Amino acid sequence: MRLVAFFVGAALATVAVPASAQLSFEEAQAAIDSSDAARIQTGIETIGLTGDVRGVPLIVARVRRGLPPELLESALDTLAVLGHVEAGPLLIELLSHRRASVRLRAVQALATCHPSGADRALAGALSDSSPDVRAAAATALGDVGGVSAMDQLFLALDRGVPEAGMAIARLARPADVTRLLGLVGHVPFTQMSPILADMLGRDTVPQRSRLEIVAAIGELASAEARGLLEQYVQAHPGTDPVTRAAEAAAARIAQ
Amino acid sequence: MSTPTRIVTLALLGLALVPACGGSGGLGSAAFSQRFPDDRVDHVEAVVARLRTAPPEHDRSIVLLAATSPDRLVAYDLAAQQRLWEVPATLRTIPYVAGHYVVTQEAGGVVVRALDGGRETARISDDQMGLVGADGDRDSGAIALSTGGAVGARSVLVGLSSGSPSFRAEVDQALGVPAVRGDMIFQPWGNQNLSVIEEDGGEIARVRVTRGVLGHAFVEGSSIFVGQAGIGLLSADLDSASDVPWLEIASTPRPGNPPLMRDAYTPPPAPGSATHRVRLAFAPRAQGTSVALVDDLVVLVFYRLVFGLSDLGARAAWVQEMPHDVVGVSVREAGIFVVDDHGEASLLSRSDGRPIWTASIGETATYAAIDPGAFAPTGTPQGDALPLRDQLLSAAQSTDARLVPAREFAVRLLGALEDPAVTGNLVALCDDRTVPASVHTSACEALATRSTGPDAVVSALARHQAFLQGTTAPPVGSLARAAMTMAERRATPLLLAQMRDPETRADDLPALFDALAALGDASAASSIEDFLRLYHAEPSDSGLAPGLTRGVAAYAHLAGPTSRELLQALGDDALTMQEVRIAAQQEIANLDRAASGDTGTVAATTDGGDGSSMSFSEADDTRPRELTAPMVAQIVDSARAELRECLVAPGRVHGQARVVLVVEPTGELAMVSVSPDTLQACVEPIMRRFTYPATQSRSRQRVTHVIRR
Repeated sequence: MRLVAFFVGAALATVAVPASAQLSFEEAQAAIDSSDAARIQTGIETIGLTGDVRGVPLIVARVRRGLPPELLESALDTLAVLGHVEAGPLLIELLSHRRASVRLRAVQALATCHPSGADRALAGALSDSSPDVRAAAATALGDVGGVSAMDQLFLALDRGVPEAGMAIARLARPADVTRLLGLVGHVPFTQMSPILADMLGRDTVPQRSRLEIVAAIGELASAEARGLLEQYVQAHPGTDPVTRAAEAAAARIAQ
Repeated sequence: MSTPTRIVTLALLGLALVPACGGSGGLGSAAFSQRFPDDRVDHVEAVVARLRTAPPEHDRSIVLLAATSPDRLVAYDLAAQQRLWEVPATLRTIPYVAGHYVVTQEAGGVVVRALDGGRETARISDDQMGLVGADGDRDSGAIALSTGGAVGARSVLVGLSSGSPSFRAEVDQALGVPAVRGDMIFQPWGNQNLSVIEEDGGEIARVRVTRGVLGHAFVEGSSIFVGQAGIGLLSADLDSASDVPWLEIASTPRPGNPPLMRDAYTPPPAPGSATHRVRLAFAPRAQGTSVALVDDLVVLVFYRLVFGLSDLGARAAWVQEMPHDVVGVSVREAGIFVVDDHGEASLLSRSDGRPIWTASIGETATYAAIDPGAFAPTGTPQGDALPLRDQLLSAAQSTDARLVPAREFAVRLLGALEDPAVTGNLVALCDDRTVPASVHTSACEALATRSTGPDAVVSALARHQAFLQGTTAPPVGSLARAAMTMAERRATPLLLAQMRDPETRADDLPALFDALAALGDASAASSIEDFLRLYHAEPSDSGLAPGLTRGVAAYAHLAGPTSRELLQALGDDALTMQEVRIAAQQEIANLDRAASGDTGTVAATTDGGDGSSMSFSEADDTRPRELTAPMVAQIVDSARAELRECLVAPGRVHGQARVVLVVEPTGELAMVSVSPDTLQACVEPIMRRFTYPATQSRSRQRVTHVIRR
């Protein structure tokens, strides 16, 4: 959804769509198949604005035939907007494109297309040389539910990819929570804090796991830990066991 | 004959005047006379005969140290391992052992001291000239002072007798470094002359040499050697002819490019000059009327690295890293005497460079003149005898910042070793971006030309950069070139994977595509096609142009006539990078030419002559699968001696030459490339005389043949 809003916003607000952009599908197809950069751009934009998924194979084929960088990026943005699984194989191939900007867009588009094999491909992108691509891949793994990449996400977190922590928070199963809590005290609390806060606030995380998180934070007995617990209590007032445990842990730290 | 403009022979310090025999060419003529004849065989033979009967040289083993803190001259007896004497002295040039005396240049002029006790026996005004050299034999000696240079040069030769000047000869020419033996002074001058002068100052023989510069004369046993960049032996065969016996070492570039002997016609360097820490040393021996070096060994000193270079300096024999900078070296039959700047003396084994004897002089010094005489200590070499590969690798990985040129040199020497394991070492060095750029470049270049050790190449090509695994991209370009040199077909899929890897540097792509083309696996064409399609519309400034154009060539080569469709598409696409379009159009033109010439097509069937068709299977093909280096060696074996003669080029003797043959599947030689390129003219016609077999190869092959001395 973020990408859709970005693309449409960019197309409508910052780039005045020329009259020629109002093409029929057939006209857009012809434009995309041409060797004229302006026409290709118009054809791609037309497909993006109309959301016509019949345009996906057209754009995929055109990308495979080779485009200048700016048109290639535009095509990928459009594929992200269309979010169609048919773009998956191309997007996975483009994870090894020589331009980091192309790889970044391919990652973002994979997150919207959810093709088969996306989790494996995105796990591989965690090893990309570009920090931006690695961060986007971690985020995208959270988006596509890439639980199979949990080991790589933990490794990425260990190697300083903070977005991997947030993806872990989104995907964590009870065993993963325990594994994550093993890092508390070893990884800087400033890095762990948003991950733990996110997991505490997630209803999808079992209550038992969230109680484990509260206990682990409480054991730190630092001002930062107390602050995190107090924030949780303020955001989740009531008699929920997790809230009560957080109140009690914060109180112990205060003493 | 050279024409000195002024000749003066004077008495000095109250000594008797030297007879000025002004005859026209007779024996005993005043030194450097312009009328003295050169290249008189009878004169030279008489001198050589006197040398044979000269009594043995003195048998003392002396080290003279330009010691520091405070400045002193220290004489040390190596055999006795004891200090003989020391005197306060600030030396302007290096000190010389001259028979039973020591000659130095100090603030007060040239000082002569007795080796026995250090007593000053003479002090001579240097008249603002430099002490070019001095030598002696027992109580006879000679001192050469000169301004150096050519036009306006001014020099003085001072004869010594029992430590005191015996004659003085002035000449308006530059003098070189003299030698003294059998009461005769052997004085090089004017770049190409050697005058033989009696101890009374009379000249008795002169030779003029055009084969090389005469800057130095030196004694080994009863032989007198002369030269500067090369070495000749004083004999009746040595004259101004251009083909006189003359030894030159291999012309291999070396760190600092030290000359065989320093230029004697430039002002002599101070004892602390770096030229004394970066130098060559050798031990000449007479071989008939020619010159040989003991073991064909040239020793290169580069600060604290000492290289033993065999084959007249062409190849590594060993390398030894000393604890401190070497400031004195002397190569003898017994080994290599070295003295470092902490006053540690060692004798290194000629065979492996390990120390076999050490002594501590205990003085820091900027220079050490070593005259070991007949001293030849024996002992068990210290430390383990490491394989040459490990010695060179250790030198290449030294962390002393001053040694970078020597590290680079060590890498080059390493690359010249055939040992397959070296390839793995070169991969590691080429892979290491933390080493100095020149060392890295040298390692990568050496890797690219390897012909052994394919497993290391294949293994390295299989690696890819991965952030999580902490792995880095290998040096693909050099590995690709190595795979091409080795005709390593296992590399093809690995090269394709590297082609698709965004971490493969754009600079490496040309070599990668060249290798894919050379390896000739047609199945690679479709992957190259995908790559060309995807990137053909990149801008020219993307850095991909060289790689893409070579990719076009590789694709055309591998896909053959079927490449036309893609080439046409690339040529027609308005978005195609200009360089790629041109490359595609060129390949289309090549296809058109091939089609019109009706060449290059191999039929799978042929007419049997009676109209029937005969089919051939692969098993019927008796052609070798490919041309290999051993096959080439066998083919050209009959010309081996002739090829080796090519290594002896005018003015240089090369240790080896590398010949790269590019051979068509038909056996036709497409190209012969010889390194060093100066040997191209000699080697290529010989290689082209031979017929090379047609092979089953589907593409051109590169085969490397090495010619060794």
